Amino acid sequence: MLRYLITSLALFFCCITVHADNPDETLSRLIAADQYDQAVKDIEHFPGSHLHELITRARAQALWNEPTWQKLLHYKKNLLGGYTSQVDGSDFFNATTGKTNPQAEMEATLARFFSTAPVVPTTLPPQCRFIARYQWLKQKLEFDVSRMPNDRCVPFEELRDALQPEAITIIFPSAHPNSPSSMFGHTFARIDRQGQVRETRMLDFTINYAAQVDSQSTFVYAVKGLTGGFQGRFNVLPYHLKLREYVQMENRDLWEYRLNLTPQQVEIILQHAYELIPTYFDYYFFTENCAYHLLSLLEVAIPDLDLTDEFKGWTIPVDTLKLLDKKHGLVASVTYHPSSKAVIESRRAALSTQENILATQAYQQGTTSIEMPLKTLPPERQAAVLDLAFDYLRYDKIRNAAAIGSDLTPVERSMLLTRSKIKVRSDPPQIPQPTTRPDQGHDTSRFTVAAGISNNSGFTQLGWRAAYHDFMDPSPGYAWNSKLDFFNTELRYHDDTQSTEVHKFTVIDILSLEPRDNFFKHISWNATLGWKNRAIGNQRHGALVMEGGPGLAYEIPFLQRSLAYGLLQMGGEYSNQYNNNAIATAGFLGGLLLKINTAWTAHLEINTRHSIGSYELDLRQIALKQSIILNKEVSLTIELSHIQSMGHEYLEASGGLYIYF
Amino acid sequence: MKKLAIGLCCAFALGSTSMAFATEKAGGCGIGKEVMAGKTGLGSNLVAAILNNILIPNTFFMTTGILGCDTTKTVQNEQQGETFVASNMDTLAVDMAQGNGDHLAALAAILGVTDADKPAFYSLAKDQYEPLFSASGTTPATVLTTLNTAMLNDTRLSQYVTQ
Repeated sequence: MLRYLITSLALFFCCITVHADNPDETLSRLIAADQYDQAVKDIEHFPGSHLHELITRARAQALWNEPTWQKLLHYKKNLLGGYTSQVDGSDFFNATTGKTNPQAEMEATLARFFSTAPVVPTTLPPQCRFIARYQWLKQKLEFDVSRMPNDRCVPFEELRDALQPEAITIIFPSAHPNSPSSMFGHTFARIDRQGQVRETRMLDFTINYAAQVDSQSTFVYAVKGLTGGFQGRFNVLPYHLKLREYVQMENRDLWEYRLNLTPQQVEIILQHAYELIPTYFDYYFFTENCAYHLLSLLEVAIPDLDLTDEFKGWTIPVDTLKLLDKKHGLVASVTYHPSSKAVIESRRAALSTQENILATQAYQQGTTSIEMPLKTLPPERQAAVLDLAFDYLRYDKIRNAAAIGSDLTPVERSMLLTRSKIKVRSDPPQIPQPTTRPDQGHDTSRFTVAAGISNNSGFTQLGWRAAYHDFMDPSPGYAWNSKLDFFNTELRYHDDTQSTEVHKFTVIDILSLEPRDNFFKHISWNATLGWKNRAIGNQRHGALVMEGGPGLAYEIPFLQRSLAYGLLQMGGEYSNQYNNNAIATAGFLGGLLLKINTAWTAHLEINTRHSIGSYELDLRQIALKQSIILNKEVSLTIELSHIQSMGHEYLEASGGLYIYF
Repeated sequence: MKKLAIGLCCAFALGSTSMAFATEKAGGCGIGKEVMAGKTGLGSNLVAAILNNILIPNTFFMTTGILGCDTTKTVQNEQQGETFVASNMDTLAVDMAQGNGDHLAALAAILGVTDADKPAFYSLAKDQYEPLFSASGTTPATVLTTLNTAMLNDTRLSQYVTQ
């Protein structure tokens, strides 16, 4: 009886073992079928597997909470206290809930590392596709490589060998105000090669985050860019292409900020860039723009620092540079690379009046037109004249061409041929680095406190501006001839009505003054959108105002950085004060901008506005504003205005402080 | 009149003048070629390789003629030279005519010219300006071939010419 029992029990257990599936096979089947979430869910059924070990180790330390993991996956705390990744491409995640669940994503990723199937849409296996994650998890969880697929990533190694990365430099093309597209500047990273010298930097490669835009109407373009309508992607381009794009094409100074990073840090940044290239983020101009995501890429190498968290409302490139340099001391050195406009100005200054005339003539009429006078000059001067003439040709071509090919025009060829026969080697113009770097300028946010009298009644004023720079702000580090106001609010408490009013709320106000001379023939312009308290007769009424227009500006002779300008203005205003709630307007904006000394700037401006087709707005305002720099954070401001509206006129005077933060 | 778009930062950094840079299309040498649209000569194979390898199998160095890339070349100085010349024909012409300049120095680096021999290289380039750039039908390939021939005939520089 007992023997029978034992036999049947033995048979029973034997059958169970025979018919039960091999757990490792089931796990492999799940992974082969891309069922990573399921594999994780069922992991307790596979206690002997290496994946089980890794997941157990990860859970023991809640490894998904570590800053490195958070930054590799770009998780940010959301309003509900959970996490959401800023990456929007679904291929970036291995768990179905990966975008919002750091733990699930880590565990599904670990499961996936047991597969070698390509991660679509790339042809790379997971160990390669997610190389930064792989290398970090491998070290943290002590992968047993004998129990995992071969993790050698040849494509990445070849990339690294081609780049020979030694350091990362942030490149900052400075703002080019005459083009709205570049107002705030831009930042991208250059991967500096080992043993690099100045000339060979153009053979390096760059990592650049930008919106993938297609031709749109201007309005659609703006709306889509502000609301995440474009995909933002990282791309890799040779630096010499970027140089063409920025220095030569758009006449911007380039500043190079070389970062203080260890080789390991550079490696992880390169690995993570590799992970990001195939995917995308929704692009938002103000918040998640190029500067922001460049930081989000760099952060993975310095997990203890929270770089992107400093930027909640908006991200301005120059502020990211300030963060890296002043706050974290991550900038090792800074190099300046002048724009082609700066080169032209430098060359002009080095030529005599006669030589300048010859250069302009050669540019306008060709080299042969100056052949005789040129021969009378010594060879060095001949070379200098032709070099400037050629710069003029290039500048013109760049400004007027829709797309820059690298072909030479016949005029250029003939000039260069003549030049090549002059046995003189050109020296590059020695343009000194500006004393103030862009990241050393005033802080971009500004607080105003002022008091004054308007129309015989006192007022107190408080203001706050989100960004960026205007004529009354200290100009070092910024363009001196342009203004960009962004979310500028001014509140006034008026004694006469004993009430606080919104005196002004500017969504955006851009004024770009480009001085004209016998070569540079730019059109100046402005554009404004915001709410203003309009003087209508003896009253004040608020209106939503949109206005702007083209004009001309000229430098004032014998004065440095001083301008005279005049612009036509056209616009529209909306207010229940107007008969049909809206009016069309026309007017004039003109002024003198005078830089009296390094601390004192005066700005005299006249602004007229008239409603078209009805007598509802008839405004002329002449204002003299002055600012005196007290220190880097504080300036003194004084304003005096004469306002004339619908037959009434009055004076306004105020004084106050600008505080930059 | 410039676009009055409320365009701030970065997205437009590529600018209305250079939309070509922003679009990514497949074909030819892939993305890299489109990036170089408008320029004569071969697309940037190195760039294409970096970008395309994500999507295309096998080696980093393009070996398949289907992709429109020269199958006999790999990403070495020779090809890099042609790529660089292709996108910088104009600036190289200027530098050579002037006998100096960053782009010319970069080309020297690509060709492996040592610092000591660079002045000789610059002088040679300047003297060769006419044959290099004046002929009609100048392409990056012809520029390099002409340059190589001239270098071969120079005692100091012949060592840098890859046969």
